[in-house]
Amino acid sequence: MQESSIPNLNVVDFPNELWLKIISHLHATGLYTLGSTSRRFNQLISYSFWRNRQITTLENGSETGVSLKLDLTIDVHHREIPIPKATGRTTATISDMDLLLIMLEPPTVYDLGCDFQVGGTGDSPCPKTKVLELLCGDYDRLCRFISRVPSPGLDKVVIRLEEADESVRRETPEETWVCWAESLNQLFNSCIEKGCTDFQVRKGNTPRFTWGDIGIRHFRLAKGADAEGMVLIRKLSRVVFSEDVTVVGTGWRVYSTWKGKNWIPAPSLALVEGLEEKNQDGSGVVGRIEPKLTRLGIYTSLLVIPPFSNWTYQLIATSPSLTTLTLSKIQNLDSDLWKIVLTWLLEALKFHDVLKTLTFDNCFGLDLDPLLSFISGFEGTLENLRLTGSYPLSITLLLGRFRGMCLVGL
Amino acid sequence: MAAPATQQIKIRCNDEKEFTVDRDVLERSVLIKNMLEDVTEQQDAPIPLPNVSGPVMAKVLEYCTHHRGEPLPSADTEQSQDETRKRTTDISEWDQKFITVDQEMLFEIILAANYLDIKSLLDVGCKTVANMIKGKTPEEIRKLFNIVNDFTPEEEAQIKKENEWAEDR
Repeated sequence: MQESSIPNLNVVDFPNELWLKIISHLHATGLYTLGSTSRRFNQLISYSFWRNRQITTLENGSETGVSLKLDLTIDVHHREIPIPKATGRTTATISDMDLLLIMLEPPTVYDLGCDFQVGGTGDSPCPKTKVLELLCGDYDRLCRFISRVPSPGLDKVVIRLEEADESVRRETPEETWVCWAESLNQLFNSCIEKGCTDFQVRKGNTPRFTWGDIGIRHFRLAKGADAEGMVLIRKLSRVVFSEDVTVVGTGWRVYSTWKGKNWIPAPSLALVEGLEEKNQDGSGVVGRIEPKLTRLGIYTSLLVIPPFSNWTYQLIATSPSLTTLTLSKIQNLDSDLWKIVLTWLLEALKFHDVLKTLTFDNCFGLDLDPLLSFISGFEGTLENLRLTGSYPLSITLLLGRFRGMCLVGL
Repeated sequence: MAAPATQQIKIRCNDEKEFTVDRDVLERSVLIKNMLEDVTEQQDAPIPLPNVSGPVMAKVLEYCTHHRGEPLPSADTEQSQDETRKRTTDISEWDQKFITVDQEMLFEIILAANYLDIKSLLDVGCKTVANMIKGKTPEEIRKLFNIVNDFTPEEEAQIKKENEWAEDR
């Protein structure tokens, strides 16, 4: 046995790219056990699962009269970007990619170590990267990164807010969080400048870190809700409500500035219907903004907890222009509630004739039979049903339950 | 092919340890291969390898010497190889013996192989770590690699639930 020259070298310190290599040699059981050890490995395994995997389906036959396409890819193809070491190249060029997924560690912990450049080289001036998905906390770097995207070059940006450990959180001074939230805000603006019209912020899978902790107090979009917030919301065709009351407030506070200067503590349907835009000085109605929601993402608890459940159903029912509906965070429902949600949803979607994509996010661990009967009871124009989850194994299990499913690339 | 094979190259590790090695052995490392291609004239100064220590380099060279002359995986075949390589953890007998080292040495070999860009060695290392994971419980893996369990009780329950599902089938 030879002695190691680095004291206390631990395999856990390996960069993610190396772990992805190790993971690529594991079978389902190994993947599963490793994924059960900690959050990082759970995420890594989910990530490695999604890479290069495409799952297609088939229609479920004439029995129910509905033709479904089950699409379990994360929107488009994406490729792993090896992050060059500081000793190696300092610039990575990313091109020919439809979606870029960057995984970074929580803020203050990780240094990207290189700058990214989006787009083709001289030979291919037409960059294909249109969708950017970020899982990280180092927003300053990301701002710089995004500032290099050719303008207009981005269609969609998804940010997953990754939370730090409990211990890191405790030790991180308040000012750091403020800075962090501010750079996040800056990041929004950088994205908008690049022509991004579809912007989505997602929390990580972990429920401990609530937006209330940092978001509302320091997050300018919510706090100021002034000019910049309005610009942001006007450019968006998509609104994502969240379960947390304060985050719901974010959405509504922004709306409420359209009406006037008062914050409205709890949302009501009247607000959606009566959106009005006033002059800068608050006098006179400039125009009326119709709630033309085409894409709606909601946390499922909003369908369950009164009074939100009421207006959420009404919002869905009275938004006939909805083409995409996403339900997130479903896994905490017990099976009775789950059935009720689906029944109500079916009711709310009764007269919708343009809904094309329905997504159930994090729907694993749930009883699937109600979902199946929901789908067969849905006589709409549904073209895409998306089921996503945080854990790969359950996806395989889930797919096994769908008749006629076929897995490609597994 | 035979002409440059006898050329001797000097390398220096981060602990000042130097090795003089046949060029074709060293060229198992894509990093060094590229370096050597960039240098047209004969150089006497050793190539510095700041990320590798002497003992680790000795092991790496042992591997490279054993596998000298085997075709290097080219970038083109990488994709298809990836598929066949995936999910298999078979390691040849010699490699198996070679990689039977203590954990820290194993991890250093992996890091060195990654840095030096020696694909086959990196593969052997990663497969070995994958083999260490197999057949263990999550708790055993945590202990083995010093992983801190940072799941909330809810998350753990969720994972357990999925586990039951898996056992169902």
